Amino acid sequence: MARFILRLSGANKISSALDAIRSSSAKVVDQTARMLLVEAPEDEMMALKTSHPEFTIAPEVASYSIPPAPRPMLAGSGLVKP
Amino acid sequence: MATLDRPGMGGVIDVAASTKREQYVLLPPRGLRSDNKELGDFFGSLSHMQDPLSRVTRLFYGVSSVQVSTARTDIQVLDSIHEDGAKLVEMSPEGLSILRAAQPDIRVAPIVYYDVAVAPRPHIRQSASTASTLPSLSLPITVVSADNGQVIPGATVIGFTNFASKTGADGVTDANGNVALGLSGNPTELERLYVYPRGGWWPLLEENVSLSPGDVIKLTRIDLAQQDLLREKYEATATPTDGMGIRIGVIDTGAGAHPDLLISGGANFVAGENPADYGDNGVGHGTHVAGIIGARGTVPLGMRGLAPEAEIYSYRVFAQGTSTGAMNYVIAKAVDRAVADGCHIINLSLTTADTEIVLSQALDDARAAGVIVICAAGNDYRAPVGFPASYAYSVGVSAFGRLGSFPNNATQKGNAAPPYGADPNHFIADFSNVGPDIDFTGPGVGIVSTFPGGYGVLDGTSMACPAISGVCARLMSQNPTFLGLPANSSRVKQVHQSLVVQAILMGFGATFEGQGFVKV
Repeated sequence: MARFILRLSGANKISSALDAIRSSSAKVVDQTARMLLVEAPEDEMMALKTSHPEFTIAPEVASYSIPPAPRPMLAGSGLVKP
Repeated sequence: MATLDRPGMGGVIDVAASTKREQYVLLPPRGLRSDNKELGDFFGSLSHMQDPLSRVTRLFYGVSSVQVSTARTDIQVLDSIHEDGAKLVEMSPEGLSILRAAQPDIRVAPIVYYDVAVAPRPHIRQSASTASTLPSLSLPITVVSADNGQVIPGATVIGFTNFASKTGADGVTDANGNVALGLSGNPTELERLYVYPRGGWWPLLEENVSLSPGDVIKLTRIDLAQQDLLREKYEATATPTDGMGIRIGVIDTGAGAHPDLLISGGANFVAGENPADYGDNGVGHGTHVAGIIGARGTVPLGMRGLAPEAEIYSYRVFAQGTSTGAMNYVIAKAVDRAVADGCHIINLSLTTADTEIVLSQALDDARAAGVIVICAAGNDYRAPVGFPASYAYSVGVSAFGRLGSFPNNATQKGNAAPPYGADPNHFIADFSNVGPDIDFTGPGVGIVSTFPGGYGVLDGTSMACPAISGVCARLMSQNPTFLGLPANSSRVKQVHQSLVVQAILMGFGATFEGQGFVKV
């Protein structure tokens, strides 16, 4: 199953979505005051987005990096890392 | 030719025959319509400006110590969705930079044109041995310290026989400082030879060098008594209380332990790792960043950052030994924690290519809590500014360098590229990302700072970013009224505008330097 982030906006409480999540097959992986990290089927997340518009729901992605060290590299080389 | 002149309390930028005008979408902080009168009036005024539409070549502005009071730029409104909201406009980069400084609350989005996806073409890998008809050989060389001959293990050596095609060979020195490069010819003619020590010495660049087996390469040891570009720009204005009362969150690869660093707190958010392990993850990047902001050593035995009295909190978001692949959830969590911990400034020397909603919302919340977020533009060689530096509510920082601020044989000479500044020794680093999202430029070429095991030289917008964070901490500590303000977006706006007041245009153009180099 994919992992999704639910982030609150405004003054809403995280508990408003927890009950809905617990009644589904979604699994809460981590929780903070403003966010939930859940493992769930995408269709369940789509349904949750409809029923809880106060949440922004987005997939968890591993896309952030330190800006690469500005070094020249050989063509095709992956050797030099920051 | 544009002439740049900015007296301390306002002035004129003449952009006659200046840079190309671009189209942007101006938006209120949320949605398409303003939810407060000030911004609504601002957007409304754009629609009704009496003289905004000719290709006006003078940009007027006036600034006071805490707020930009007026701003007229060369905006041409092309279309409007709402009187008090979204506008399609055309303006010069200089005009946009001034507008961003005057109205940091507005969001500026570039016009985006979508293309069909084009299948990527495979790259040809070419080693020197396969590119040559000469028999392959291994070229053994040794890397040592120039001052005492100490061998240098762990140095990355890259020899280019053809720099344009990036043909050559590379390797890492062993415990005896030796490396064998798979290169043809004897002697081997190299267009360029790069040597990057892990720390302790300046990286080396030799051009058009002839190498024979057994040759010894000598590196210059870092001398903390010598000023690098950071100290050159900021040491003279340092005071003993710089940073006092200011808390800065460094969201990075972890920071410390290092004798010159006092890390006051933090957390590790990487899943499966010890949450209390917010020290350096082995990469060294976060330790270097933290040192630029707040190292507390004493020269020449140690080094000092820009705001040594600031409290530094380290929030680690990269797994042990890595500098890529940090999760959006983890970074948003770190931003939330920094806000909850009472940080006044967050330093984000990290990037991703595309705008991402989870961190965007965390940055919105940080701003609403009065926290200014300062971000590295990215090191993709003049590519557009990466996210989150490109985000409307973060402060995006490019990197500049100065010829003469590093040893003559250092790799940093290879980072010099146009545009050069009013002082022709200054340049925007060739690797720096640039564009209308740049707010300021900072020293980012040949920067000496704390590093695991001692001190290291790094280059990048990652280094320019903490320079601005550090100078922001200086500014806030020197003006205690900032800390008396309510912790909300208005405080962020005032701090940002005070940075603008302190900024000095270096003559690169707004696309490269935004409002310039912040001097406090």
